[in-house]
Amino acid sequence: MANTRIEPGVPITLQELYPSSQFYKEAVSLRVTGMLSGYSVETAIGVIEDGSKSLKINTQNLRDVSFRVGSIYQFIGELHIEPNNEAFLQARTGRNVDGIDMNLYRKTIELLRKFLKEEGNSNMAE
Amino acid sequence: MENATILTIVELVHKGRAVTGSSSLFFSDATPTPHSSSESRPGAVDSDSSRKFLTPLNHPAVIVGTLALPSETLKCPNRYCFRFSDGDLTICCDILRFEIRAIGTKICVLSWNFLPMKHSGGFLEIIKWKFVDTDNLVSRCSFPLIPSLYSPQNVDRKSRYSVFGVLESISPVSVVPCQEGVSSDSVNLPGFLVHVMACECKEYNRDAIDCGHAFEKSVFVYLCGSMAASWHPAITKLVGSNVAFSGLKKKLVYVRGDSLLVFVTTENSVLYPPWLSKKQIVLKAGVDRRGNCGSYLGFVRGLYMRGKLVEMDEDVWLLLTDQIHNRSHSIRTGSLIFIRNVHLVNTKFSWGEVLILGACFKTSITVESFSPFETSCLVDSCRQTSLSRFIESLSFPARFWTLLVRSCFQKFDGMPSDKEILRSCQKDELTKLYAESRIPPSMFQPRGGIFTEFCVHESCGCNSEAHDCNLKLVMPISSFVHHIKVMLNELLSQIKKDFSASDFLSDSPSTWKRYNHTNMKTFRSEDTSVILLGRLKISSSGRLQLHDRTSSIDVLAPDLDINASRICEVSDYSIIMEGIPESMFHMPFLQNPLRCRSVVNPTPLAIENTLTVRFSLSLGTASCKHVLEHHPLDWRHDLNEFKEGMFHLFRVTHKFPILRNGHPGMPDCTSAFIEALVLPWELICTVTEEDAAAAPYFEEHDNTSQEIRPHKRYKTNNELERQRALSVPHEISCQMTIRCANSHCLVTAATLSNLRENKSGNMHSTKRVLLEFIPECSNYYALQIGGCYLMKHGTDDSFCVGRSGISNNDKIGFRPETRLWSVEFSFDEVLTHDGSVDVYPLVSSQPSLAVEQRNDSSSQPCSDVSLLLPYDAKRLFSVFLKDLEELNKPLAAGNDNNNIACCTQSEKIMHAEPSRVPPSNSLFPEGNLATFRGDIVAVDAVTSSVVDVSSSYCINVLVNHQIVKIFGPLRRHSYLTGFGPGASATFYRILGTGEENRFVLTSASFVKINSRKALDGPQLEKPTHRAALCLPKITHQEYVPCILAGPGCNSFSENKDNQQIKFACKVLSVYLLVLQTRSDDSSEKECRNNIVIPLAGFVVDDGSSIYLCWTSGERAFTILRLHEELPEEAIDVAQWIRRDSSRGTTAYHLEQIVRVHKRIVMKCNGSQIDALFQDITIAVTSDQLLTKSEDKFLKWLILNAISGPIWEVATSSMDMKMIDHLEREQCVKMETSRHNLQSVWGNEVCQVDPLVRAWSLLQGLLNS
Repeated sequence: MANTRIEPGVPITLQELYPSSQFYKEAVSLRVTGMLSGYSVETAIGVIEDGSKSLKINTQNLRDVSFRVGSIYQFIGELHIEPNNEAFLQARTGRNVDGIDMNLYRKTIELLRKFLKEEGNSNMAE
Repeated sequence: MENATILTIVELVHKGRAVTGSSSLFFSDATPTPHSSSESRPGAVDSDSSRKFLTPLNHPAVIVGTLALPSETLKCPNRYCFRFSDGDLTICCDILRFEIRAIGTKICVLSWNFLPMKHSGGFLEIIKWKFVDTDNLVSRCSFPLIPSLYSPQNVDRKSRYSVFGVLESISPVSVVPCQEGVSSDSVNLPGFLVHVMACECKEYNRDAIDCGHAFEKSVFVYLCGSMAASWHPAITKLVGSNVAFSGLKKKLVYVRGDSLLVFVTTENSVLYPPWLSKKQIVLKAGVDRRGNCGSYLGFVRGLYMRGKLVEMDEDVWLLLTDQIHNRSHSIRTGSLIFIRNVHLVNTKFSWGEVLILGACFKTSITVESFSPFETSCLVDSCRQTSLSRFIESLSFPARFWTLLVRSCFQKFDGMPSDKEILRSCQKDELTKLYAESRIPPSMFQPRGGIFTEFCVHESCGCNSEAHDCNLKLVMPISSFVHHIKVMLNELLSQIKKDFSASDFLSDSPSTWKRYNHTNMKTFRSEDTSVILLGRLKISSSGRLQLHDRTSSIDVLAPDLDINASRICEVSDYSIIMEGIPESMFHMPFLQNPLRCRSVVNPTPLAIENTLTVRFSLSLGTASCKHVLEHHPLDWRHDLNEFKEGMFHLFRVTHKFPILRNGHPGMPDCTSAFIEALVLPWELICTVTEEDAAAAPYFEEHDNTSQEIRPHKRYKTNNELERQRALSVPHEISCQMTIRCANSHCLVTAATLSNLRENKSGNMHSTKRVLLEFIPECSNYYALQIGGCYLMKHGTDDSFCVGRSGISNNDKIGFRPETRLWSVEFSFDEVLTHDGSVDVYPLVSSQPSLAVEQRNDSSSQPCSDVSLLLPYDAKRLFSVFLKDLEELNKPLAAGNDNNNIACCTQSEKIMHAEPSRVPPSNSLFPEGNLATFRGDIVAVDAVTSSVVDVSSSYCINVLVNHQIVKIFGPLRRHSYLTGFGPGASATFYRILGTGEENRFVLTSASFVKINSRKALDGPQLEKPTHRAALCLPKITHQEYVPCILAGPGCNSFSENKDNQQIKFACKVLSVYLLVLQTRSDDSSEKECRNNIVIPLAGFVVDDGSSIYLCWTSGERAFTILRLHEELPEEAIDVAQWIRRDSSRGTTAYHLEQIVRVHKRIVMKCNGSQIDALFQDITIAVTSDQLLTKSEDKFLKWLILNAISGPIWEVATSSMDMKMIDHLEREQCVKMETSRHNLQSVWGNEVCQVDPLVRAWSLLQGLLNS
């Protein structure tokens, strides 16, 4: 148990999840959002999509989320990279966020990062 | 009788006219003869003016002849008809007051109808008759089923049984294969079953009939053999009366594993006709129901679908779907028929309730009274199609629905075939495929044979009927249009009743006209539960329409694949009504029940349409499905066009609107123009005959899930081709996918060849040309700005004819027959390891222009042709395809000021920056051109001149949460279908005025309606929003309250201009409310309500502080939510609500109260909800006391306002002076100081869309 501390899920968009990305690392905690394009009841693995990008979500630990293909979901969990360099998110929690404006959401992520960065800078300056 | 002439059948047939005759006539010229068949319930038959009475003969006439049982000699499709012969000629006939004794005897027909028929010359309906020779009749009381001529009369011991009882039911004649006699050949033996409730006594004794027989035993008699079967029409007439058979033998028949005793007729069988019994007077009631089966007596109102569908009374339909039925010709429109043992299925469809009379094998129909009308006879079609077999396998409601669908498909012009049968087969197939896809499996029922269903009737599926049916009504378009018109008219008459004539009619027509394009009402397809079938086409007026043979309806459908040959099923749509008078908004639409009659018989009654309301359909997403259609010829033809062809490639950069006559400064011009870029590439296609023959066929089951993109399936590994492309830079090999009608796709190889090679350096770059479309040319409408198109190269094509090459600014005329294909480019992405195909997003036939990128994610390949190019070509082609900004240089070269800016990203809207245009002496307006997409919020009438362009309208467009004002004369644009608030439109090439967010529509500007919001369900279309959205058009006097319009309010108006603050807030309480009846001042009639609110004060909370917001008029209406429907459960206002459910708005009920009390002043001092009603005072000017319910209602108003949404209010501050002024004007003491709240005046109110607000917040944050 090397890392016992659970990190907060960093909100990202699926577009930011490419192999060379800073978020594309084993066991990094993320908050991802996308439309559920498929779900297998046997394996509890769902696939969310955002634009052309998709991500596999392992939902075996989730209990109270009902999955409906076509709805938009948000998951917080840890990213795991399989030997074939394919990633999936081991979800800690998830919720249905139907009605979300993804464009607006993307912008708010940017804004949030900007804010956190400024905040971090000012904290460091102190 | 004495002077009646005796007519021969030959005479009648020879004349070939439908006539009615009688032995004695009271003939007059004016009125038709009083007819025995029309004497009963004459009013029951629909008095359709198109229906013609049978022509009466002008002299008394009788016919003498012999009535006979059917025989093989008379060829009649119904097979089992009575015959009537006068020696020379035999025709089919039917007879009233039938007696078995009449068979084979000479009768004199005293009163009759004659109808000519194709197959046997004619059909005689015998109404009144008598025996010619009455002497030897008495002896006849038994009738051998097989005449003694044939039977050897040797009494067999086996055939000793007899049956007598009441004849319950009779089956149709069916054919049983059996081996007869010594020969081993199998013969088809016709026969039919009868069900008799018999008495168990052994001996049939005619005299002992009335003494103690109990007809309790259920017995089946099978009349077997062609001679016995010929008794079918006669025995049908005896159903319900008592009969006796003797000389029967017993047989055991196995039905569904059980043995059943059946009596079978022999050569010695004898039929005894009914005897009159005192008990046995059959009463024929209208409807007689016993369990599921019953009998029905009624007039036939119409026969449809070759007699399969018979309309009886309103919403009562008889289904005669079983092929095997033997029906009389006399079942005609207008005849009174008695149906026995029919299934009475009360079915609730989603559109209404229908009583279906489902005929099964037990059903028998007798005509009680012949039709007096000249209507066609029922003729059985013996042809058994796959559709009829399919229908027979369904439950009755599903059968009924399928027949309605079939009649809808009837309304389509089929494939270009002159063979009616072929066409009808095609429609049958289509109906079957469509119905199969819609009907749930539970509505199919297994069918047993005729024996099973007749003998063990209760156990077979006929019984278990689904009584609720969620199948939606499929309607021909004309019926649908008619239905809406009826609805509108009813509504209008309702309004006329409600509003006094002076209120409503005096000033409204002008007002309607003025806001014609803005007044819209939408309602969803769920409300009507109607499915439309039709083809999409572009009408001559440039509108997209859904049409069938009956009518057409305007359609708003963005991004649709318009394929005129396909039949579309439209299920998800909104009906948009434009130009509805405002007073109609408060009225809920009355839901008329839909009549199935209008489906099968779409001849709409002439409706006097007093309203000029245009309505159109706005199709929802995934609403338009293509109904499968087999068009084997169509797509072959399509592919042939590509055989060995060369094609020009061009891209549309702008469409100029069609200039109607009288455009200022323009000559009259009937042509339409499109600006296009001709690409310096030519497509050379190599479809061969074999390719075309072997074209794969894809069934497009579901547009949304199954994407038809064959080149994705065919993994492309065209390494070789790519190399070739690299070595020969001016020729690019590509893979071409041609989509034809009916989802046929063909993937083939093609070559793009650079024109520099072909035409001596004349075409080394793109050429900008102007395409001219003459009015007959519908291509203009199909072309989309930004789309690429192919045109076949030929000696006489528009690009080549009369010129050696194309140069810039050429005007190229298009002919109507010119065919164009939309083309889409995609590039083989070599870099991605899975070899997937990256469809180049910028170019497709669909308007995937940069400005319309929002649609991209959902767009599917809908172009006629897709070209898959090697990846290397992407760079090459992006020059032509990508950079519209670069390409969009104006036509007139050298005028660099007029750069056309096209924004490349939807986020950055107006690329055309508000550059300061230097004052110029030019006659024409100057400025930058812009293109953007936005949502139209409001269209206001203004009379101002912006940048020298006289504008009559100002269109407020929401582009990325900023309001952009577009001024212009509108004209043509305003009449685009769907133009108005709620539409999302792209404005191409509109002129920037130099002022921020102000633009001008010019005659070169093009407006495209992309979509229409369904106004987000029922909420947004509610009048509150309309009032809010269109606030500025309410009289300006009201804008600044009338009471302040004096010189005393100068400070106010200054304030208003200077310090307008917008904030979002919720209503906490209603502080003061002044309600009064409308004054006679005509300026206030705009409101079209009988109440006015001169002053209202609301305690509002914007999240940080609490204000006292004062307002009046329509804004107060909005905040009080008076236009909204009154929730019934909200408060007990029973006596108002119950009066009429159609007036559900709060305003209406309030009006009732205010009318009584003239003026009501309500004050509420509690600003917190818990203390709300503790300190409330209501004062009225009338001397009547407020009733308890009125008091309750007024208090409820406050609660209603509090539970409202978040409002955005534009306010200006108020000082004490103004408050004093208001107090004095309204004679109220406001005691505002008591609350110590800041008072503000609300100038504008509108509902806040949280999403829009979030965006604007974000915008604010980003800018800060």
